[in-house]
Amino acid sequence: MSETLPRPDDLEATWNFVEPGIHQILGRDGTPSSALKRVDKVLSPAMYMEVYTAIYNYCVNKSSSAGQFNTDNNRQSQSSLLVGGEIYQKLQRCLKDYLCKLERDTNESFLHFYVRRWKRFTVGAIFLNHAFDYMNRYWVQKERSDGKRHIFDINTLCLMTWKEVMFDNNVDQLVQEVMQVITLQRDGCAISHTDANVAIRSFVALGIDPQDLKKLNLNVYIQYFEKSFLDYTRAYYKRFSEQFLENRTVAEYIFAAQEKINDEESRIVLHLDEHTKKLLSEALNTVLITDHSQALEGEFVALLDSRDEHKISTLYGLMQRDILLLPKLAQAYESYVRKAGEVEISRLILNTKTKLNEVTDENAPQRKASANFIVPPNEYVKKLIEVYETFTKITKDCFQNGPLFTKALDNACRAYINVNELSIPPGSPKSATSKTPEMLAKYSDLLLKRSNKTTVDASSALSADDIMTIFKFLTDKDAFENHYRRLFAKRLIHGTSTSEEDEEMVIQRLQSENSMEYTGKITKMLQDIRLSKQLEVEFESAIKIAPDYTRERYPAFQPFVLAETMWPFSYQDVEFNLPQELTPTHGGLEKLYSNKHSGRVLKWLWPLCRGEMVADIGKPGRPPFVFTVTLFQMSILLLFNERSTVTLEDIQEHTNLSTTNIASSLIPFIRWKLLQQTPVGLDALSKPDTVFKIASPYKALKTKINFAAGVKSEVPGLGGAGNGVGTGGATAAEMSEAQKIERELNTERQIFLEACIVRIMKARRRLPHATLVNECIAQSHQRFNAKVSLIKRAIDNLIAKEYLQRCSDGESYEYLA
Amino acid sequence: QFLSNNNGELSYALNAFYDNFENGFVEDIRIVSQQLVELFEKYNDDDKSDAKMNTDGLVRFVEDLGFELEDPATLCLAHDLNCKSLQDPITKDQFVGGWHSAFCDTFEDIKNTLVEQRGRLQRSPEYLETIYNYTYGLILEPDQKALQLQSAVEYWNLFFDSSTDVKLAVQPSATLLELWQVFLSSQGYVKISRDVWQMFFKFIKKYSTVEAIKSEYNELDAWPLLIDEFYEDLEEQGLV
Repeated sequence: MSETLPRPDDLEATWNFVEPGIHQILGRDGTPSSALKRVDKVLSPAMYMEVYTAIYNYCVNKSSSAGQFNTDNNRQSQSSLLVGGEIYQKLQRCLKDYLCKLERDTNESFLHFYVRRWKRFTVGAIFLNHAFDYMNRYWVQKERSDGKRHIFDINTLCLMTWKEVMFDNNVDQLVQEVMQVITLQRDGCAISHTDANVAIRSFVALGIDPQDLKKLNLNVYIQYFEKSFLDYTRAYYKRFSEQFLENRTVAEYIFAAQEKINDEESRIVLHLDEHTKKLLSEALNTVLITDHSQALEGEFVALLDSRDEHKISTLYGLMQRDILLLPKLAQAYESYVRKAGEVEISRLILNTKTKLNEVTDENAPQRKASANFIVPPNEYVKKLIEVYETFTKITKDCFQNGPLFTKALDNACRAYINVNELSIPPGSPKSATSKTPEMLAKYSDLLLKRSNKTTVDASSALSADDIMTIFKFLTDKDAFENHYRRLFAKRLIHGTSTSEEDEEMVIQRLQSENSMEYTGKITKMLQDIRLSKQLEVEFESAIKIAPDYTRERYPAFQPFVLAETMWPFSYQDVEFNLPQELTPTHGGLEKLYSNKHSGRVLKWLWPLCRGEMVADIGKPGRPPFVFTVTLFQMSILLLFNERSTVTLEDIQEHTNLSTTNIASSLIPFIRWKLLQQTPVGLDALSKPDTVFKIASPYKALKTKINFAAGVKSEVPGLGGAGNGVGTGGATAAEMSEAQKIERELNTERQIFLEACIVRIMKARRRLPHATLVNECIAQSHQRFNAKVSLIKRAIDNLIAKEYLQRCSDGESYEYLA
Repeated sequence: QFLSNNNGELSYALNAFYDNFENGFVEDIRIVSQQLVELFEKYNDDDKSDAKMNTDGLVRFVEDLGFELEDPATLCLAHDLNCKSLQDPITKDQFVGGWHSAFCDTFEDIKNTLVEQRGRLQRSPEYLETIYNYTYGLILEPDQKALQLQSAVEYWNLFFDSSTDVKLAVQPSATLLELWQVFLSSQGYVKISRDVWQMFFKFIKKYSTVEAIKSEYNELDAWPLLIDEFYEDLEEQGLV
């Protein structure tokens, strides 16, 4: 304490006493070294103590003496205000003077000057704040609580003064220079950005709310810096992106933009206030992405074409930043996938066609005939799967399975799987149903049918998973069920299933994918087969104990009892006399069955019966032939046991079959030269006096011959040209089969819809047309895609049947009990 | 008096008053005109004991009234007399009662009423629709559920033929009507259901010309399938 302290009640003396100290604290101007030195070096503890004590004494003394002088007129608070205020004002003026006098060094940039001073000044301000601590705590506090919002604690006072003097006057230049630094950095120059950094922090620190000092606000930062920063940024990147796109490809741009955005966002953390983050992102999104969204979207398709997953995901990453762009992108994706699927299928058709043409080049007319059904179901389904898998992968890897994109993929798959060049050939009528369910059913048949050809290589391995994948996307699930059931029935009856477990597995999966109801019929069919096997065993044991049992009398026999409505076979009443060799079996089974289940009626599906015959008509010494024949063929061949020539009339007399049935049974025999026909020619097949002679000895390479396979359900116009008949017949039969299925499907749907409408209307009593239609579509989409015309027909029917009635407005319906 | 009966409650009293008054009012102020009975007898020419007027009598009656049989007003007449079917003869009660409740006592009254109703057909789409819908039941063959296409066409022409000078409240363009009939016969339809019959009126009321169909038809509306198909047919012909 070298100096004596001033008298506490002498303002001038006190001020004069502390002033040098204050300057010391703030750092003397003109001595750049002082800024670098630590403050405590500049200001000795003793001096600091003195300043503090002087201020303390002054404040304490004044307020107490003022209290003494003015006890009676009760103006204690006001007098203390006056006193504290004087030194406060002196300090304020002093600060202002100090700052005004600051000068920057020659060849020093303003930014650097500003930052250098700021650093020093803020440190000083903190010390000063401490020095005036007593005043802060009592006088300032009191003033502020009295509502004097223009009085601040000393630190704040320093900052406010700084803002007023240094900042407000030079803000434009300052921001300009900060921006220059940032721009340099953006351009990739290695440059120290600490100055810029500190400057930016100072903007934040200067945001002071006079109402509430503790609450830091960003007024200054936002108003002076952020706004122009964003403007600069926008302009910069606008220029950048435009130039870039002019000179380089969009694909490159994607990466550049991604990189820029990453750079910018990491910079945020380093220098800018958190507040800017969102705004900056938005600005970048607008300038770099949204403004170029068209170019990017255009590139999107090209990238998909190239299947470049890295680029696609980068692009997605960009587009994701503007949430509004995604729906459009998803839409583009959807139509791209759909088109890709369609193109793949068309290409497949083309490939198969050219392959076929190479094979049957010399047989020109056949090309056209077979053009309808050339693509094997397994290739078709595989192709569908392939497209699906490609894009599932892209959706997963590039789009992180974003909901919009998964949905887009689903829609697209549904579209191309159900509608493509193969499933609905161009030029087919509007109401045509897709062929995909049929192809898929055939595919499943390939999978589940035991075949002697084991040429299935690994790449085309069939799998139940594929069926399920495609199945999910089918709109006409009922069509699939129908086709599946048909093929399934054939597999069951002919015993060509690979294994029962496999069948059951597929059925199980179909059931869990759709519903119990969906696979109801199929399951019932499987049951029928099991019951039939039981029946076979029962029958076998029953006839063995029969008194007249011989193997001749009861040949081995396998019955199938099938529930009529479940199976896709319709009962035809066929005129037929069972050959006597089989009557005991027939009678025996009927007796057994009706004893077991009274009231059930057995109807015999003669045209579906098959059998094996052993014929010892080869050269002597060779093992006998085994023929697989239909029941009709069997009954014809049995006639030859008694004689070697038979006329058509004889056949008719014994079997009671129609000429068409006889003719279709005979054709395979004649083709395989088991029977000789005189006179030859198809015309003669229907003439009663045509004679058939059995070949004896019969020469054939194989001992097992399947004649049943050669039987077509319909014999083509008797008298058609010789050679083409086989194939022509096949397509004709298939056509009528397809039509039958189609009709069956339509009636089923009609019934389903009518039931659906009645159910809905019963619950709702009265509904507008549009609602009813929508409900119907919703309820039926598990099975098929309900067309509005079909729903309308159902409604019309129900109106005619007086279940419904139109309301008088003509736009809604009412349920009639 | 009514007030005292209802304990001074004015509204109850008024109700009671009007109730009683109305009862008294409806009670035979108009007696059935003898002229109507005579009229009926006049046209019921074949068998006096049978109190029914047969078709011949009705035709004469209509002609004497000065109307042609093809005039839609005859349908209003049938409607007034509450005829269920063209085949059924008209009973005396129907005839006399029908005209009586239509406030007609004389031949002239009837004539005026019919002229008036023809006017309503031309002015009021609602009345026209009532008569139009009523006609379906009238011309339906007994024991049939749907109308023969041929008679439907006849009556459509009767209602909507634009070549006559009587223009009704709803009038489709001649082309539209013709296209519709060509469509029906080309598609091999033989029956027209009541629903189609009724909806066709709403259809032409909404779209009276081919152009209107072209610009405004919406297949998602509740039109019956047949009308949708008609639209599709027009589409295929390139007319819409």
